[in-house]
Amino acid sequence: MTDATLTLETHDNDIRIGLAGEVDMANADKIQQQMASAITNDTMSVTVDVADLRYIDSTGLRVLASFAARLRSIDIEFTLIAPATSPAGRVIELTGLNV
Amino acid sequence: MATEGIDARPEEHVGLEHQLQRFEALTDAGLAYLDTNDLLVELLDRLRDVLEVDTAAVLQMDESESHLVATVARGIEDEARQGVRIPVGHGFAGQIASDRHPRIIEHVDNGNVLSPVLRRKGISSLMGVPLISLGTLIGVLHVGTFRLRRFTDADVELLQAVGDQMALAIQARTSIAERAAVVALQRSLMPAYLPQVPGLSAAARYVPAEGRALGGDWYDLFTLPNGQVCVAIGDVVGHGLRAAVVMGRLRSALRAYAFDGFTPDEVLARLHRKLQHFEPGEMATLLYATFDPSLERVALSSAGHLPPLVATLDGGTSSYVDIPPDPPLGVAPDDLASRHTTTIEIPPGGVLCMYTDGLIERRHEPLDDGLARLQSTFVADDPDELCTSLMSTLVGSDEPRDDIAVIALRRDVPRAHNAIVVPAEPASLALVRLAMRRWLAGAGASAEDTDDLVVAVGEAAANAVKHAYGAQRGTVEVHLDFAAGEAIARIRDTGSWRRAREGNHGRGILLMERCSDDLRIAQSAAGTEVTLRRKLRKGVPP
Repeated sequence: MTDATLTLETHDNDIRIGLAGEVDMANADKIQQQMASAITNDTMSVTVDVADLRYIDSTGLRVLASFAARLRSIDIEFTLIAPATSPAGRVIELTGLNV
Repeated sequence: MATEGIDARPEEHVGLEHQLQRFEALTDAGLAYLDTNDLLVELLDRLRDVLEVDTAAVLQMDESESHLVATVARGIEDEARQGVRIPVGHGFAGQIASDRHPRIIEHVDNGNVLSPVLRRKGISSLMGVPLISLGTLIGVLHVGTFRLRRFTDADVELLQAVGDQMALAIQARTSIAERAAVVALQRSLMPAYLPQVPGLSAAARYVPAEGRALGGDWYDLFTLPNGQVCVAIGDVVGHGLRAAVVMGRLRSALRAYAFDGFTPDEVLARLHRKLQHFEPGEMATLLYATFDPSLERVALSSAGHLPPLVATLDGGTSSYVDIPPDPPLGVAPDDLASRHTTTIEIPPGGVLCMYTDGLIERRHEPLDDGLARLQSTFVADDPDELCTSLMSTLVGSDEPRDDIAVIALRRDVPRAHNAIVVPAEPASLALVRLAMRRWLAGAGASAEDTDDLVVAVGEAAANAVKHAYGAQRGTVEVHLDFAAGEAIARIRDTGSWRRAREGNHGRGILLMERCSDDLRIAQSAAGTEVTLRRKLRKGVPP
């Protein structure tokens, strides 16, 4: 079973979400829900750090992209941290995903 | 008080020797097949007849050895039904237990009898004897009368004779029951079969010591959701039910800590603290190892356990793993910070062997001789054959004086063709990736080749799961071949892909293309086969 852990840090109205483990079709919906439920009405900015993700597939990328689009549509700043050397960074680079 | 109204049986009425002989004959012949409770009931009833008393009861020492608990009572059944507890050293029965001497009370009153049942029932006179077996006090037997009664020395002798028989019977039946419980417990604690781990072969042996000693040795092999493979072997000091129970608790706690993601040293530190708190005075040695998901590396931590052995294919030599033995569990003061984890590499074909001291220890022989004998016997072989040869060479036909546990694990040699078939369900994807990583690691593929191929095959398998079968069930086959420096992956289903719906289908195909040198998708009525080829930059594929 695909296993991912999600950590949350809140500073005032800024939220940092750290993802570790693996994300694929089996747990993408759960991750999406967990990320969405962390956002409050007062949130100003969200940073998602995927540097520690060991694996992410296209379903996981879709979750990240739609989460980013949703936040921007309600004027919440979104930042993705995905070093080029990390597995997630590599997949993002290969697909040219622009979030 | 006058002696009127006190029963004292006339001498001619007694015929004690005769009665005792009859009693013993009945005891030996008729009662051998009764369980403990039925036996005691029968003996108490016969005792009531022979001694002409109204009540008879057995109280047994509880586990804490601080209280007597009424277990069987006749004439005063409530005593046992209510589980009356009498502190050792207090009251009538409690004093018999502490003095280990017979005792008689002719006039029961509140000051000399604690049992509320005895007092409420209106018992007037009591006589009791200690139940002693092999020097150990196991309980108290007493009889009572509603009328005042003067018990004689002969009465005490008879009661003690019956008590001695009861004590032996209780002790013998307890030992048999305990032994059966230990065997049942140990069976339930050893894995009934070792889990199938793709890329790893495993075999184990467990032989309990001959005769009296059933011990606290155990081994365990299990996998974690992240693909790690965990192996443990341990030895609880002591024997019998107690050691087996401690072993069972350690085993469960180890699995729980491992499941929470702790490293080997952290797992052992937590086990140590748990043992000290909940089972003070118990001690165990333990060796715990985790294979990383690719099976290339093993992280080990030792709590005073003998070192594991590793044998590799090149040269076939074996060596002990240089691992600092931290203190056994349960002895030293809290040491959460001071334990160590050692990481070693296991090449393809390499064997890791863990064992308990029973395998190598011989009377009148230095431990080093045993270690040397084990090392010279140990080669990189099939684990099952290895276990067989270790047992026949090191144990032979000797009756083992201590428990023996051995577990051997071999990382499979790389193969030119690898395959796995999984249900077409999202939960299978992690397993497909794990299998891919193990095959590629075995072939010596670089991290970049491995990651890209895992992504490409992951996408192809996800497509099959999502699009091939609709609401039907089906399977996905993943094959990985190595040929001429190239990895060829084929992902097959027997359904028909439907159109993508969420808009990431294109991204999945893009990832497959970008992560391989060549991508072909062949769709037919029989199903879909995706073939991905990638030149390996590094490594010597088989």
